[in-house]
Amino acid sequence: MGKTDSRKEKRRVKTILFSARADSFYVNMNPLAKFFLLLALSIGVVISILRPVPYLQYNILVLVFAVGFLFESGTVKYLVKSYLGLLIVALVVMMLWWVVFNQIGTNPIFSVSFLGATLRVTYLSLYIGVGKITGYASMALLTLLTIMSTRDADIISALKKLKVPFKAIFFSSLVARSLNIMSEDLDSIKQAQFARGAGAASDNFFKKVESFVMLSIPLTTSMIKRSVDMGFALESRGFSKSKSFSDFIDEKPFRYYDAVIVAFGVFMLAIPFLA
Amino acid sequence: MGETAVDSKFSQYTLRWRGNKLTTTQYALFAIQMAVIILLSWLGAIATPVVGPGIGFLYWAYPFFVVFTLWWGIWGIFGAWLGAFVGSGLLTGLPVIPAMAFSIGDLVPALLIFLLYRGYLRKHGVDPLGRDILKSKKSAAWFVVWVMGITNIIGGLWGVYVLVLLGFVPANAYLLGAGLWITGDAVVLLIAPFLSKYVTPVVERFGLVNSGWVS
Repeated sequence: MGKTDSRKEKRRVKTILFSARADSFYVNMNPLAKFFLLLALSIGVVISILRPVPYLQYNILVLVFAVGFLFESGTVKYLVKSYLGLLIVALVVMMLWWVVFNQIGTNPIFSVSFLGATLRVTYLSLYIGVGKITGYASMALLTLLTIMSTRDADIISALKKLKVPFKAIFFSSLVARSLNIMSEDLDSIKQAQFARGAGAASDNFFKKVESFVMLSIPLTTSMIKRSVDMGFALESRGFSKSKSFSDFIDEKPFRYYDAVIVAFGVFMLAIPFLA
Repeated sequence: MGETAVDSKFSQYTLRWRGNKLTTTQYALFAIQMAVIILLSWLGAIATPVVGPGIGFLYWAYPFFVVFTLWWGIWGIFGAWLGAFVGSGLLTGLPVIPAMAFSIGDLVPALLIFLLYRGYLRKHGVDPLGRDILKSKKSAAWFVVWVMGITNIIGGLWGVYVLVLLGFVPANAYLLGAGLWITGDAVVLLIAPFLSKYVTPVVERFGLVNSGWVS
């Protein structure tokens, strides 16, 4: 593979959270089709896990779909780095709650008595627990996939298509873009406190609370300073008299494969109602 | 101090719909404060001990949206909702519909706090911006009863009810889940009086505190 091909393959675009491969199918999907798919699959999974016995095969299918496109969009590394630990803890806690608080079924695998209380784990309670955690995991990965493969320009484009007023769209894009700026400010404040010997990393719960309290006041003042600067910048460019966007907005047209995705969403939504 | 004198002291902060004209700086500020709440809600969900399905113990955004609501009315209330919907909802992997239902649990407390502070308490000697919580017993008592107590309990009961409805939390673990949620939020709310006391004068000096709901 030549140098140019290698560079092309590595080209990435900044998304709401982290970045994704520029030539990915999921990244280039029409945003309205993508949001519809997220909504349809989420409703499907909620219907599935609300059954007395969750529809495990359906949950696993959605999970495989989400994992597949996490690889395809090149976002899986961020998921592993930033969310996998959290997700595993959340799933273990969820499993424990369902095993402890949902002791149903007639075929016990094992039973333990402690201080007069009995914990009885059955095949059915385990199956329900697995059904719940696969449903939760599939929804979590699908939502993260959508966020990690969507750009703020896609949101602006979708809102424009929905005929949302200019000031409301601009406000939404300000919120989206301020996320990164404020995240960087928060990191700078943490680093500054760390350099002064305050807010050092600690596993102690009370130390964590204390270091957060110390962050809160500089964070709020930095937010106000940013707003004043941004307000002046906007006003000096005649923002209060503007009625529409003057810059080109990167819009993704609705293509045949977006229609296929919408049809797939409808099909997947129908399954838990019919099966 | 008589009621009329107290009323005039805080008379600029009321429940009228519009106060002064909304400036471009305020427009930018309201967007940035929502970004901050989303960021803190996200941190509250991913960098905090998970004590139950969908229940993180320390929701860092809570004291911020309480203070922002006292300052910026409907924008603070909307920020509370958006923070829960996007920050501790979508950005942590919670799907759209559960996140939407879940976020009502932050919107309602923020709304109730604003109504009480700008309505009843303003007329009864309590600072509507919460600057006196650390020095007045009456203000401290209202903060504990209304903010850390009643509205927090409503939010916690609703949040865990949604988790039960969605099949994330077993129905017979409802009270345990709600108890953990409410306790965690009450702990982080202790930051709010400090924020109010030390940062409100700065915000006031810039002329950025809303006198009504919208501006």
